[in-house]
Amino acid sequence: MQWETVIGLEVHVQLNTKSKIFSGAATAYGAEPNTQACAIDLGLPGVLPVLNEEAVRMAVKFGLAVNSNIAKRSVFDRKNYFYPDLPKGYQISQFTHPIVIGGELNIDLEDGTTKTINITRAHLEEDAGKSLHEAFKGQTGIDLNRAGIPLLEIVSEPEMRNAAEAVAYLKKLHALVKYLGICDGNMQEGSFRCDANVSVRPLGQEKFGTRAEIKNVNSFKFVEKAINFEVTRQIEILESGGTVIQETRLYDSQKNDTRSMRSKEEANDYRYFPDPDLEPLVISAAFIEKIKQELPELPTAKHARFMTQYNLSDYEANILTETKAIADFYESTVKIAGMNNSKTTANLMIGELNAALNKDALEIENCPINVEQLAKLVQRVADNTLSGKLAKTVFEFMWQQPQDPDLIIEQQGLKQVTDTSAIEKIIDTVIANNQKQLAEYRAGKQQLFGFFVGQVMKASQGKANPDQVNKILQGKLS
Amino acid sequence: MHNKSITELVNNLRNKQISCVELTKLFLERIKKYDQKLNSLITNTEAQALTDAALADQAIANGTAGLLTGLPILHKDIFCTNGVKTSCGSRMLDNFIAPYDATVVTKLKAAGTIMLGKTNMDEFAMGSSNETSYYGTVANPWNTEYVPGGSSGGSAAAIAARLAPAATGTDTGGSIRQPAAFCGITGIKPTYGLVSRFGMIAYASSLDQGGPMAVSAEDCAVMLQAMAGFDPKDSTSVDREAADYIKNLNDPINKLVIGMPKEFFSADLNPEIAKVVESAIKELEKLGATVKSISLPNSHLSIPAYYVIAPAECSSNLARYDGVRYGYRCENPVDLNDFYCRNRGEGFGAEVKRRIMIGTYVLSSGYYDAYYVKAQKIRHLIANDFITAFKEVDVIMCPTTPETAFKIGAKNKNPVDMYLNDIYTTGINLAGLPGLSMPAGFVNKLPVGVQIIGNYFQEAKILNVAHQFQKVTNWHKQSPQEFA
Amino acid sequence: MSFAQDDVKKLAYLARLAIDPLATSIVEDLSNILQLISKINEINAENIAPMEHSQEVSQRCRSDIVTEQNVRDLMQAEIPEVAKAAGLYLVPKVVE
Repeated sequence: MQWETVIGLEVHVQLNTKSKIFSGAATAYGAEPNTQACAIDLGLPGVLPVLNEEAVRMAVKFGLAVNSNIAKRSVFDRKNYFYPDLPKGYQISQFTHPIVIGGELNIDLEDGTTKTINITRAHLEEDAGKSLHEAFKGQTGIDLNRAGIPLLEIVSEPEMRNAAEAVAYLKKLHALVKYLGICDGNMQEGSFRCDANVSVRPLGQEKFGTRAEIKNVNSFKFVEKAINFEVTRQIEILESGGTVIQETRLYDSQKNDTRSMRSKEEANDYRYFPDPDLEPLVISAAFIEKIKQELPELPTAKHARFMTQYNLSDYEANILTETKAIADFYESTVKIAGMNNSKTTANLMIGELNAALNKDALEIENCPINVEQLAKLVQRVADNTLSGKLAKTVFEFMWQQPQDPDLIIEQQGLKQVTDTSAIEKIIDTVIANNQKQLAEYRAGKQQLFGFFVGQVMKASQGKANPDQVNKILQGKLS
Repeated sequence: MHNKSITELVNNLRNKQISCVELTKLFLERIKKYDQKLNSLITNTEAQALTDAALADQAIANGTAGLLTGLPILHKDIFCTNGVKTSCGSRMLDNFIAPYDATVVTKLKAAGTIMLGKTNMDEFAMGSSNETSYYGTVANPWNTEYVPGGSSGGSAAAIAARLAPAATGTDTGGSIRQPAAFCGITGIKPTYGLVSRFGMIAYASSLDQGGPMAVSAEDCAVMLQAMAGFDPKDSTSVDREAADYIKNLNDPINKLVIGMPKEFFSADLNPEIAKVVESAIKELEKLGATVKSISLPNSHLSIPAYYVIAPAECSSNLARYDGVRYGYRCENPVDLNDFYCRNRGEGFGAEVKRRIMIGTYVLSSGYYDAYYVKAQKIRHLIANDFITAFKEVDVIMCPTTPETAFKIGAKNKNPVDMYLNDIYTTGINLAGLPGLSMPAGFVNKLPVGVQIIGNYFQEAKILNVAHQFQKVTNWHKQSPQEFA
Repeated sequence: MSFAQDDVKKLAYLARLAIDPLATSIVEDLSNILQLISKINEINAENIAPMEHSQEVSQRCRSDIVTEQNVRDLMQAEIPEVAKAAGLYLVPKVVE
């Protein structure tokens, strides 16, 4: 029996507004419990919600970036259920009339092709608080700092067919919301949360199989593992004649499995109805147009521009536009180093810089070397002060102790030797000391050329300009 | 002194014919003397009142007095008052000290009023008799064996007994107008969105409105002037230019067209009540108004629609009362479920629980379209009936209630018996229109109220009509002998 | 139109209300109310939209600024000691 996996993803994106979606309390992460929970967030008797305009703008930005329809009129609904981290006993969300309808995201598959994943909808809602189960015996502690932080829930069509596609979608979405500046994308802190709806069906069957919803996956790696485990689990059940139960399951990263959380059947009746404390949200075409004008350059457009403007290959542009931070770093560096050095800058960033960042597990935002320093290094390669190899050495010094490369070149005496007579002198000395090899070379042993180059580089402590060495050596050896 | 109008009292205070402290003491003493019989107050804020009165005297001396400086008032215990117990008539909030002021409270404070206390009410504003309060039934000052009406029964009784010159109330299905009628006082429910709901504990969010209750329409106008106005903290608050409710009180009504809905004057109406209402309308005709028969064909559905929509919204609004962050907590909960179920089961009274369950039912999957959505459609039809009628008439008049006050306990066998009180009032809440009740006579020695309904934001007009009526009649000046 | 005991039990649980399971009056009362509200079935309201708000207002927005400071002490002042610890609210343990 051949099985097909069907995956739909629901992503909760925490919008990084300064204040909450319906109250003026702060949203900063890591505050002491309940110090950012005002009367409205606590659901005190008599309080009322008022909508944060920035949350609306951010939702519209997202909608425009994925080519969706922005609803001219959307409605806030109450989702009613009881849970200690839900202070009002209902969550303000959008059920029937969400603010964003449709849209699409193009993902890059491993084989180099692209696939379009359609977005069903995206809507605004408020986040719930946090429950701490471990700290108290027989009790759970509730922190409502998070209650009321704006969320954009983005729902995809069930169009992904394996874990890799799901991860590709998530990564693209993650980069996009960071690009738009609407979310800091910090998965450890819960700013970007994924729930995966996973089901399987016999290949060729049109009807969807019963799906399970997997929650609590807070990294791309775990998403992949959780989906793979779940697919195996469901196939095993079906192949042994059983039925998959529609339920919510939690992913356990320690055991690498999913376990049943609560039967979805029980938590089901949310009794959605339009929130009478809020009016319908009406968005004008003019409002949407203004936001369109304010949209930052999107990844696809930036990629195309980088290729033409900086003369980069598709591969180079991919890497340098992967995140807005990387792209900004590159462009800032080129601005100082000069347009004609765009390729050199690219090489340095994709090569040395990338390797160093990866080795030390750093993001570019925390790069020890700044754009001025990197630009100077680029210029020193361009003006022949340094050879490629010497540049590597200087870079290593800079990584350990970030500073103007000129200082390192000075201190370490790493300036490339380009003076022809100086090089000639070194070559003459080497030839004089290696008469036997000279004779062999002249007799026909061409491969000894490399030996002489090596000796000259050694004698010059690597500083002799390689091109000149080659040229002069050619002349002197023949 | 206690029979004077607000305008007179405020003038007396300003002219230093009486001090604020003296006036506050006067009413506090009346409360001490008479409220045991009525049980109209839940909380007495005597100490703070005297402090505030002293400050008011200073303001008058400094020339910084406001519109209502020194006027003692009562607040229905549904309005959050900072640092003062706010119970909403419920065991659930018996231990709740509000950490902030409702906007209505802030505005009336800013106008200079002095709060004497918080009035008793049906639990969470659900009731028409003030018999569901955790703090006991309120008695009607006209006959203490009878109910004062509800849910603003405490405010109504206190005004009728002249324990304060003014009180705030709230009206979701008639809770200002009906007790005003039962107690022989004047009360107005403004257009939905005119008075801020911030800090006014929610029962049914799309229907609730706060409003003044006092001896006369003129007094209500002065109070409404201070209470009304746009509040950015309430998303349903309407942002429109402030109106003047006082300057039009004396406009002549010789061109007024009064609509009488034929459905409200059917053969079912108690003929004695009908007589009072018709007499009142005749008085207005003497002043030049004309009468037109109109029809509100869907009015018979207002009670059923109301008892779908209000419970639905309340079931959700009251979900926050779970004992976690404030409110009643049961002893020794076994687990989380027990904690929730007993906090709420023990904290809420029977009527509240009934309405929460009905509300839960009409919102639940499978019933939502047939009940909640259908009721909202009927609501639209009811509103349209009024809008159509107002093309022909300026105001609509009818009885406020189908009968006078009933005996305490008389309608407790079947909750529906109680609901049928609301026949003339609920439609106005569903449509969001302004409605006023004023006393217009007696039947069996109990007051009868007449309702004046206006078009959207026509509070000035209905207050004007009521004031003109009160200039040529004395019903509103009467108060029970026992509390004279 | 009426409720059965079981219906009432389910509703009470959905609403987290402890009710006396033996009290038949609750079932009766609710059934009476159900009968009253079922009158809305008397008419056909196909051609009219539901009216959720009596005023046609569109939602106003507020600026994205922090206007509330830390009010934890004020908010937790009146609740009993058993209900709070280390700034958190305490409830009987939640079992997932």
